[in-house]
Amino acid sequence: MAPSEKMNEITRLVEQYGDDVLRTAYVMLKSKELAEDAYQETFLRICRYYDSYRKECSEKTWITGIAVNVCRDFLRSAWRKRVTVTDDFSAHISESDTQEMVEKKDEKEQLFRSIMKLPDKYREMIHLYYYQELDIKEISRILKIPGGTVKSRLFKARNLLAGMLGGEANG
Amino acid sequence: MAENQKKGRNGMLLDDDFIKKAYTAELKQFKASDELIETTLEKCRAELEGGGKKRRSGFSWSRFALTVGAPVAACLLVLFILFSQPMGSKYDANYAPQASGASEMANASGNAEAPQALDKDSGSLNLIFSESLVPERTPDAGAQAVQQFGLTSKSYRSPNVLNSLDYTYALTPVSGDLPPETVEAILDAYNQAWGTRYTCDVNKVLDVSTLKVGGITAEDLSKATGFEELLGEQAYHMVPLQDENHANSLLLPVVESAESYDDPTAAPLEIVYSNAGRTWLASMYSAIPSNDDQIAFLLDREEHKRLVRETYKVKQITGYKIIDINHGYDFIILIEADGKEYAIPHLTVGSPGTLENHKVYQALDVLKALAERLKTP
Repeated sequence: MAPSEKMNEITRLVEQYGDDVLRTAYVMLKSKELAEDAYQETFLRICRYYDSYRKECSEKTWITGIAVNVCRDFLRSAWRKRVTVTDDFSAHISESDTQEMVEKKDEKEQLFRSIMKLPDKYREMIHLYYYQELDIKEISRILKIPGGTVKSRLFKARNLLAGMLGGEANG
Repeated sequence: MAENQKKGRNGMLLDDDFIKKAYTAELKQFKASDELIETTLEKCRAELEGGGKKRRSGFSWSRFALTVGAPVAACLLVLFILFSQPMGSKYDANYAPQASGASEMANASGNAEAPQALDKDSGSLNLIFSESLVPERTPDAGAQAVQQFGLTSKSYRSPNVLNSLDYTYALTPVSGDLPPETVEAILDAYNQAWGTRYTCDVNKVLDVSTLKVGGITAEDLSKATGFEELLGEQAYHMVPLQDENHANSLLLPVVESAESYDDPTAAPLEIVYSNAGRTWLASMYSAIPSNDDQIAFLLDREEHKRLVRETYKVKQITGYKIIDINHGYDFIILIEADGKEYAIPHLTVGSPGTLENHKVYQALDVLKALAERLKTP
């Protein structure tokens, strides 16, 4: 493929999957700045490895896998400064919101904050399953772990969430 | 999506649908800015232009192996071994016969039978070689083979660029852990290939960082403020092999691959081990010979830290890395302590120049010394 054609494809991928990549990076790295670095690095790697994509999995799974690997690299970098959960990403409540809307926003925000406080391996699981809507097999492929481990982590993640929100498991 | 319900303290129903909707709604507020998109596309354009130039003169192992197949891949493997050694190195005339021997062995592998597949611990192990490829089965056959292939230190000339073993074809910059069962399986494969009985302490496997792809010049070294900025994305593992006398004698590089290689003949290296969705590659020809003392020092992480503590009276060690600066032969042991980088040269082939081997220095001093060494004809 000619570089110009490839560039068109990369532009399409950035437009189609860019926000998802950024969100995945944010959830994994818990920092806007690092997420933006990871976003750029992910698409650079997509450029490098574009020819090796053999369509054995969906484009979304392939790109998510690269993004997850980039984030893991960032997390594994022994000398990278530790970052804490940022608060600047929470929903803002406007004065025009009704009481019901405020409560609903509170619930969503509370849930989101709880997810962001989950240990890395459970947080990435929740993200891949609920946000990216990947199935067990796809998550297993991306994280390079058996499907059984994916299921058990997902189960544990839900229990942890219920626990963090002070609830009890019902099902 | 299976339905799951868990109830929170305040009556919040934690079912799949709520988690999905609430989480997605919060996350969707986060979008890539136009500036970020613009910058990223510019970098991608530069990458593609640069990469395009490289590809015209470069070589993609995985693609080539897939296209041409096993017999030709075996020949190319030998070429890869020969050309992947220190940049600028050329074989001395005295070593020509050995190189020729390597070619003969490569030709022999042209008649290689189908890869053998073994099951080990539910993983799959594939060795792409035939009996005819194995020249001699003696306890030291592995090391001898390395020498037959001209891979001894004597065959090198001083490179003018520092470079690491190049595993970019593995397509995975991530180097996670190397599970003990993987080490054992690859060691079995190596021993089976050479008829040797090397052993390995699975707790002593090294994680090795590499330099940026393309190598590091004297100018790069002079400009650098630390080693960290010279590092590339790829990492690999070095498995120390002990002979029957329990002496360290070889270092076997192992790299995790993003490709699973359902067809092992398509893999760029001939030992392919897959387990639990992960795949590792090693070559029966790429073990690096060294002596017991040298390897023992490289493995002695505590001694490296002690050297830094005693020499510079540091309080807290916060980082530790082993960097391959010469194709798996020479290393810099990099230690971060009290916010500074310290470096211990471990050079088995390259000239130490003004540096003293196994002595701890401030990283900047080592960068300067290495730059000087590269400038010296």
